[in-house]
Amino acid sequence: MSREDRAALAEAQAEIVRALVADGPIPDGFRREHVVAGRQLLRDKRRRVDERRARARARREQAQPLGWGRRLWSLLRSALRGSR
Amino acid sequence: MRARLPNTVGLGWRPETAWLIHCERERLGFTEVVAESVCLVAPLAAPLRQLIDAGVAVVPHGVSLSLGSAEGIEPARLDRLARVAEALDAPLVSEHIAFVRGAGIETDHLLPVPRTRAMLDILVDNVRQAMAVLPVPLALENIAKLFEWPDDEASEISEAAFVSELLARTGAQLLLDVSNLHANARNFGWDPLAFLDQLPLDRVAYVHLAGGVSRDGVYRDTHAHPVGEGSLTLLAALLERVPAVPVLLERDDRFTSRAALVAELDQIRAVVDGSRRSVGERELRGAEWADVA
Repeated sequence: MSREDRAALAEAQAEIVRALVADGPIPDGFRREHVVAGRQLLRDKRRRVDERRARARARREQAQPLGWGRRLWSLLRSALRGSR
Repeated sequence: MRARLPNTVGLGWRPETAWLIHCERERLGFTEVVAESVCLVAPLAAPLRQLIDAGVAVVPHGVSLSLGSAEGIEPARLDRLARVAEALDAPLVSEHIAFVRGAGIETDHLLPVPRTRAMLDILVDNVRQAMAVLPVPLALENIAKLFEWPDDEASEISEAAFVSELLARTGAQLLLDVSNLHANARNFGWDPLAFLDQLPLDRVAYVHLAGGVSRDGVYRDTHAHPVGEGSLTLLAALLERVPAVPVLLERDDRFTSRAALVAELDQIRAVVDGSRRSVGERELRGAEWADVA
């Protein structure tokens, strides 16, 4: 296949990506309802991925050992509780 | 030759399913992990290490290689996928017949490629390049399409012929996603059984199943709902054609309870066992007739 054919196909792929993700114009010949539904699906998916990443980050932070400052504070707090 | 996975019903590995997979590892036999989620700068996560040590096959499932990109695939992503396969001691790697980026924009979604000769040539180049670097066989998955390309309807190559030629020219195996096929049949009016009949089913490495939902007249393969009747019926139709094939349930979101997931796996096993029984009975009846003759 020629370099020009490959470049033309790459541009066609770029156009549909821009239409889906960056609200670019819908390229000729594509069914509008498919592209509009696709935009919505990608938006929903991105939101779900962001939520899942946030949950994973929270899980990691919970599982991480305490830093020296928080550990010292935790020990001090336990000691104070014990002295009561 | 097909990569060796046990002919069991496996479950996709996610942090939310890790405990269930650990408990049911002998029955599940194999699992699949999203390759991009495997960390390579630290020792392998303990739950995955334990599974591998227990003899459970772990298949890295790539989602970002973009084998269908006319721009070509990124060598760094390919090298990483190869290293993940080595770290997991994987029997094979799987990826999609799709592209995921263009114009420097990541879509985070698998997009369909146009069904043209030019595209097929590009896919063959990209898949061959990937197979030359990967240390294990590669299985290619059919996707659920968001849209069809303008020339698809007029294309002289059917969808099944497109996939078949890609497999034949590259030597790759097939990860047949029955639920994606069901989604395409619903949304684009395909005949799923004709699609199955035109595929080289001896190249199926394993099968994907996942749930979906209909919204505004469009069926979406969400991986967040229980597997529906349509996908299970198609699975049974596939198993009539290839009785012994590994099946994997994908679930990415809306994890309800462990009991619900176990029940869903049991439901799939019932379809698998039922199909194998009926094929066995048919073969037995055939043998009886052969004896009579």
